[in-house]
Amino acid sequence: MKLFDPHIHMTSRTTDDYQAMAAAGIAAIVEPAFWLGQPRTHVGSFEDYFGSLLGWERFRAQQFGIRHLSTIGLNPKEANNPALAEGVLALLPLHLEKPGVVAVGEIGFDDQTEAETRVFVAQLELARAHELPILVHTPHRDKKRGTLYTLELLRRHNFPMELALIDHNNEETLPHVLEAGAWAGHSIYPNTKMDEGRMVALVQKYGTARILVNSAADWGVSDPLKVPKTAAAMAAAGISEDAIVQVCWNNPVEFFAQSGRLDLATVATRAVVDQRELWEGNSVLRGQAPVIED
Amino acid sequence: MPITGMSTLLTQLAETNAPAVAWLRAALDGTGFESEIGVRTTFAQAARKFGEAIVASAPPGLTATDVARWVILLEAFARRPTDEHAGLALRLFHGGELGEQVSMLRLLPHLPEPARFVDLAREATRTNVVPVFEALACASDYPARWLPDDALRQLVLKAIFLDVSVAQIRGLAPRVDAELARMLEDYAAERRAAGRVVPGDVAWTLALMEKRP
Repeated sequence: MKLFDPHIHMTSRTTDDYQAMAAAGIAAIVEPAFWLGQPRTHVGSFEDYFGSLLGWERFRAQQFGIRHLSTIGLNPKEANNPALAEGVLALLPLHLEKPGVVAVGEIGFDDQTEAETRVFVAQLELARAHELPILVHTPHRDKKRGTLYTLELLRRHNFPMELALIDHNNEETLPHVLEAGAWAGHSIYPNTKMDEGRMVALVQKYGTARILVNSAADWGVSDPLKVPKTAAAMAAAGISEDAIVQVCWNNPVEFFAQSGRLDLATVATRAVVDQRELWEGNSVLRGQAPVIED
Repeated sequence: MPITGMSTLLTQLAETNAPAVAWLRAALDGTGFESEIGVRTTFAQAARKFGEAIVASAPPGLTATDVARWVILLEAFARRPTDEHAGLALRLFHGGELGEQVSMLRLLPHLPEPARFVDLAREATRTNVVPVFEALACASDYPARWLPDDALRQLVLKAIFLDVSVAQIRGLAPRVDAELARMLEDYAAERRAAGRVVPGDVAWTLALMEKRP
């Protein structure tokens, strides 16, 4: 079964992860721009970061047979630095037009400050101007209120709900997101957020429409194989293969295809690996024999 | 504390580590200290020179390195217009590694007009680095005295997320409010819906609210 991880931060992961992901059936991923564990203090750091998501990381994924797409945006934590936020917002129009960008994200709320609201609304307008959907992070602290506030802002700004993927849902937030008409992501984590068993229960209760699962794997304790593991847990619980394909492939493809920048024919085929290729002179290999597929 | 107090502290520091104090006095007198990069370098170097010894006569919890950095900050402030102090402190915090960030947060309540550094403190309420968080949340009563309500509520929730005991946030009781109680109750509901244990600090903090007159 071909699987899609619609939220994973591969710049923080190793080539072992890429190999394991490809072996477990992951054929396409979306890497949202986010923070790096500590706040950046220069606009130029973002410029290089966006460049690496759209350049080296995309190439690296391809070298393991995985199609790599990105969302570009200013995350809520760093939105709280006003001088930085203005500079990064000014960079976004350029980067939103680059190949492989399928949404504005991840945007949303962390501390739920006025600065975060201002940056979120500015990025809604950017999404509209660039005809892109949005990938929205929901806060860990005061989560339900933050999620309801996000939905309220989308309504207030007439942002089409079908173009919004609200992420990191749990039992308390999911019904509100579905009722609003937005898409609902679930980050399956070893200890926090959502786990496989609870995800199975949510699919059994709410069905498969507009529901996605992801690993949200990053530099912390997380697991890049959570999408295949959740697919296996759903199968073990008797959920039909069609339903699993819907959640773990069709839904992310359908959501991000709304960008008009996801070629359905391309994403339907596995990326062809040719590890002889170089990116600006750099290879992912360190003396190994290159894997070459026809 | 006025500069004269600082020289008393420096004299006491010199009793246990005279070479470090001699180095610090020379650094502050040097031409390098006139530039911001010089201030940042001196601030960073202080840890190697002074180490982690606790200074008996200093405010509780401050190490010899913290005291040296306190002197460095006050000297750098004295050479700059007042309206540049908060910006300098923020840049030292941003550019600092973990130890420098910890020192800066421990020193906040001891700097002149501590309210000027609320933006810096707010940033530390969002960190995932526990020693940095604790240097703000637990080392002094700075959060309870100076943080605005919304930032203080986030600090309490973040403490629970990081498994830092809320009891260590000094002076919190009088500032627990209905909105924080609402946030804690929502969090407890979320944990129950997920089939997870509700951390004991949720009830502990809610009890603070109930104990209020």
